[in-house]
Amino acid sequence: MINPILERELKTRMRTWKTPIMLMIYLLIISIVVALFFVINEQRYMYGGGTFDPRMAIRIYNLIVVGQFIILMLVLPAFTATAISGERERQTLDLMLCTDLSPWKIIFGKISAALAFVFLLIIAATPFMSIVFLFGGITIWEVVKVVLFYMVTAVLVSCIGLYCSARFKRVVTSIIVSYLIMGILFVGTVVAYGVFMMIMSTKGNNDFVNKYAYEILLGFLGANPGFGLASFYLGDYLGISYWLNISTSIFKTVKPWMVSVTFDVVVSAILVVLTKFRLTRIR
Amino acid sequence: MIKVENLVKRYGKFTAVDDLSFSIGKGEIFGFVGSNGAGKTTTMKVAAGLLKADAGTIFVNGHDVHKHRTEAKRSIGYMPDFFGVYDDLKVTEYMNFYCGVHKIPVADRKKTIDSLVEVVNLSDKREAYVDDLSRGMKQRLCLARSLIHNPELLILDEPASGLDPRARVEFREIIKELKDMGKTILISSHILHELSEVCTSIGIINGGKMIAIGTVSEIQEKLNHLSRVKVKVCSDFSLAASILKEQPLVTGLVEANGFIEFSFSGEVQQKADLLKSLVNKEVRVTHFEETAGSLESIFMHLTNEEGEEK
Ligand SMILES: Nc1ncnc2c1ncn2[C@@H]1O[C@H](COP(=O)(O)OP(=O)(O)O)[C@@H](O)[C@H]1O
Ligand SMILES: [Mg+2]
Repeated sequence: MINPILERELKTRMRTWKTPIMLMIYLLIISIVVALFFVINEQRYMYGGGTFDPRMAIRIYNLIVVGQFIILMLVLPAFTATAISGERERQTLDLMLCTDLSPWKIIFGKISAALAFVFLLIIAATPFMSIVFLFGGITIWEVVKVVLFYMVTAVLVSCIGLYCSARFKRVVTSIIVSYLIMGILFVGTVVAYGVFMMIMSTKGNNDFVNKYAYEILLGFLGANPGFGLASFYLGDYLGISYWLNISTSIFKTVKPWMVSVTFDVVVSAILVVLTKFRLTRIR
Repeated sequence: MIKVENLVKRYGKFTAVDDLSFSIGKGEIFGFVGSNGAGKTTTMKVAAGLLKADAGTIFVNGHDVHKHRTEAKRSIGYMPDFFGVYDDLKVTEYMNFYCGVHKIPVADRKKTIDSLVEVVNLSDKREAYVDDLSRGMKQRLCLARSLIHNPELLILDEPASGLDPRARVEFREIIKELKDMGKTILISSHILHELSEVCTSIGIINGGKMIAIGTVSEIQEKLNHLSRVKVKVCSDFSLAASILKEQPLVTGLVEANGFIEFSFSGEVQQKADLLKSLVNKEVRVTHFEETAGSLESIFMHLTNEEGEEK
């Protein structure tokens, strides 16, 4: 028996015009970006006079992956931030809570609905991905890796939205706070890292910073899903160490995406428990 | 079936339900009457497990609704004082969703939905969007929803409010039908006569306290005993008022539009004596009338009165 909340969400979301329109806009954005990329590169080749460079396919792939990620991160909080508070505003939450339906099922239903939506967006973009395969240079394994990373990140973002929607009575508050948290994750961590490095350098702690460069980076940016994603391209430790100009670290086997995924899983679990607590708390 | 014992519920410092006790036997229909803000919804929400009592207990089918919430919930069909509908769903889909919530096996759902939709007379609206239903229909749909898991106890919070007279009658017929099905029903209203026809017993709540409880005829008796008297005097207004206030049988005295109005809970003779005492004290009475208090106005008075005494 399918989770009733998931079933309802899928049914109503797929039925409205909103979903196909959003899907269209999403695909349009991706195609414009890809087209622009081709146009710009076309001009370069006019002067270079070479044949088609397979590295270009990889660049397109990267572009799609990053673009998709940005779009997902922008859309997803709004999707789940209304999950519980929306039910509350519609006054349907009490109707579920006064049944013997487990609150875990409500949470699971809402998160899986969000993931289904993410999956839809990923599937919808596969035609673009197939261009990349056409030219080669990217293995299916790499794509699967990125998609899995997407999903784990999507779980975290869904949980953030879901918790906010359970924590705050009003939909508006819930949405605003969700995006604030997203801002802290994506931008706040980078700013904090920058500020930390600045303070350290003004204090003359350069030795410390150089010695633990990788650890500091992981510590500050490990929570940042963007960093986790970027590390797929930076080539994990090797790439980053080259980029940061550091020689060694005992943590070099720890890859940024591992930190990111661990963070996602742990924080998601905590948020789910807190959400459950919010749902069952009666006063 | 349901037993409420010394229930207290506070919102901050405000006591919404104050030491409320009553019980409803199996198959009974209990009318829970009180003006707006009396504490009906609060009591029902505690019973439905949506609010926590500050003191007291509620047992449903032998289960403490707080300690054994899940078991108690299975016996309760709760219909709140709001619709709570997803308007992007059709009637059958709406019902199907709550069948899922109540873990009704997929194979049984069609039968369940069909029979419930039939009970609430929505058979011809099965494929309509919930959004397009009239208020009365939505109300009935919500009732059907609260029946999905075949609960023994129904808690209906002002199900007839906001309905036009025809829809009210229709709703009342459905309640009678449910009664015949053997359901125990706790139904609230701020209009007494709306319930007197369908209920086996009635409790009147005001300011969070139960001020009268009994069978319909007992309550009627109690109310009939009270009459509302209107007096007009020339110029001796305050004197008349003070004399009347001293009378033990006079309650709920108000002065309005040049009239003094009060409730009198005595026999006809005592009423005559009351007029006599006014005249004896040299009050010049120009008008002395017993108003034909409808049940409701008496009830309004009853609740107001007890409220003032607090
Ligand atoms: N969530 C709440 N917070 C504070 N006061 C409330 C809340 N809900 C109800 N009240 C107050 O409690 C009293 C009883 O309300 P309620 O149970 O809804 O009455 P009724 O259903 O009889 O109209 C009212 O005075 C109301 O203002
Ligand atoms: Mg109410």
